[in-house]
Amino acid sequence: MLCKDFSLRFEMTDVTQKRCFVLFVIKMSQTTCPPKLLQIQNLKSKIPMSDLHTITATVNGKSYTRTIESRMLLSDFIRHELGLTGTHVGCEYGVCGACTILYDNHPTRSCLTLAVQANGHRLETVEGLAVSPTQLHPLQQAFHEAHGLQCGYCTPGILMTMKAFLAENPHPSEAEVREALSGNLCRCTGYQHIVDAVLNVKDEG
Amino acid sequence: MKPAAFKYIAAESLAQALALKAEYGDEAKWLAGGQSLVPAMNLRVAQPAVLIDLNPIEGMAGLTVKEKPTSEPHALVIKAMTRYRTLERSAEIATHCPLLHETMPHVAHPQIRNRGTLGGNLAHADPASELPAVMMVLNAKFKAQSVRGERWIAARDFFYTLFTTALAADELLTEIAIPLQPDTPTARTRTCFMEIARRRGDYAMMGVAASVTLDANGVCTDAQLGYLNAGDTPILATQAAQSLVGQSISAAQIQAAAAIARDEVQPPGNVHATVAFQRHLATVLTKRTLTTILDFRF
Ligand SMILES: Cc1cc2nc3c(=O)[nH]c(=O)nc-3n(C[C@H](O)[C@H](O)[C@H](O)COP(=O)(O)OP(=O)(O)OC[C@H]3O[C@@H](n4cnc5c(N)ncnc54)[C@H](O)[C@@H]3O)c2cc1C
Ligand code: FES
Ligand code: FES
Repeated sequence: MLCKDFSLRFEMTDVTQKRCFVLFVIKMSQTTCPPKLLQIQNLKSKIPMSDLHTITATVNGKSYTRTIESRMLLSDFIRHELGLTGTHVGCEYGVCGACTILYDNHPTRSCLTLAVQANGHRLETVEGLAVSPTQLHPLQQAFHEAHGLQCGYCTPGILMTMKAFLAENPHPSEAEVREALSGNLCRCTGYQHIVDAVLNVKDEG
Repeated sequence: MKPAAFKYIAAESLAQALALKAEYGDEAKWLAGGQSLVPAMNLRVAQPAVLIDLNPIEGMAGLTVKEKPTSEPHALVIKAMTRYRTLERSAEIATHCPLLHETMPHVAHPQIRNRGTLGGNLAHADPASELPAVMMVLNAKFKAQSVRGERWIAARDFFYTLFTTALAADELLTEIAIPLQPDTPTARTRTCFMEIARRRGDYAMMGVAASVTLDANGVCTDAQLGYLNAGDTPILATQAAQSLVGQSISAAQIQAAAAIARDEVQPPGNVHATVAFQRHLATVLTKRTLTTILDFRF
């Protein structure tokens, strides 16, 4: 029953690519759900309530050591443990892109990575972009000038995605910019000003 | 939406990982790119008791083109933890396996491709994914390893149904071997991938991977048509493909094959596309891929 409700909710919230989870849930509700859930509950009693790990990660050039639970998402680690709330959380299942950070230089969903996995890795968040408190990164400056944001919720994820994209492809076409942007949802701008901003960075050099 | 509690183990070696899985069985899950498993855990539709992280293990990623002596076919061997990003940018794949090269940019978004792995994708066995269908068309083989030993499973025997594969609870998919088909005087093979999604990077409403082999006289000696989001597993339209063999393919034969394929696919239908629309897309994409191959790729 629980599972049926789930599948209904996902079908109704027809936003983007939830298909995989819809199928998961439908499949579970039709076949394996009750025994599987029971099995999980039995076995959960054997698993300690907290599974603690001490990790060290470099974020924006600074090294941080924290003891965290294995179930903590990297997005929550960045926001709640380190207080770097520039990284936003929209969906927590990989669809919206708001939580995108650089993980060893590559744009990555921090909501689909466990904090414990970041042990020994190098992360970069939107807080690491600006040159100084008074001087924006050229990409941020371009967003400012082209009006590439309205509410700003999607912006940190887009900036981190585009920083890596421009490093790899400094002279992109508009089509390439749009393709690179496909993993970031923006509810406000209609994307045009975001594309303009990214192309303007290119124009400046 | 946070994962339920679990025990996390960063595996240090393949042997250790296999021993752990043998010990925990179904209670444990492998963590590869996490791009399907972690969202499922966040939504609590998956609640594994133990996660065995494959990422720290050295030597589980990378690809090689194996040149075999004389009669045996050459093979592209890809290790399971190779990320989409690597496949997408690999010059070897672009040269030796153009079908896979053409498919990669359609798989999810750049950020997902930075983490997602070929092994994780195939083991996840989502019939809406591009890669299982492509592996069926390419007639790939998968190596499964466990403490009990290793075995090879043909892609065409691997996908049982939705999210269900031939892998046993203690088995790890470690390698994917794709036979290559370099041109010979008597056989040339050309391929094409196309899909239609509402938005770039979304799971497609329908997609086709096509492969055609012609002999020196332009007669078709082999054809393969694989469909995604067309059933509980990736679907091979064997009758449609077989209808092309033994002739030099005309526009009318392409039309006829597309009509057969339309009835061979078993699409589920969803909020994005009705079954009738998915069948329509299968027809159109069959025609487009075959026409592209025959008009532009030989
Ligand atoms: C927003 C979004 C969009 C997406 N769009 C697409 C798309 O268009 N097309 C598409 O194909 N995919 C898409 N995906 C899914 C993506 O391709 C996943 O990366 C892939 O399905 C799973 O690979 P992974 O390496 O992340 O595996 P994981 O998520 O780590 O694992 C998936 C499953 O496979 C098991 N597993 C992993 N590795 C192995 C192994 N070596 N042997 C045995 N079992 C293993 C795990 O235990 C788990 O059950 C999308 C994902 C997201 C979040
Ligand atoms: S919060 Fe939406 S992708 Fe991570
Ligand atoms: S500016 Fe509001 S979501 Fe993009």
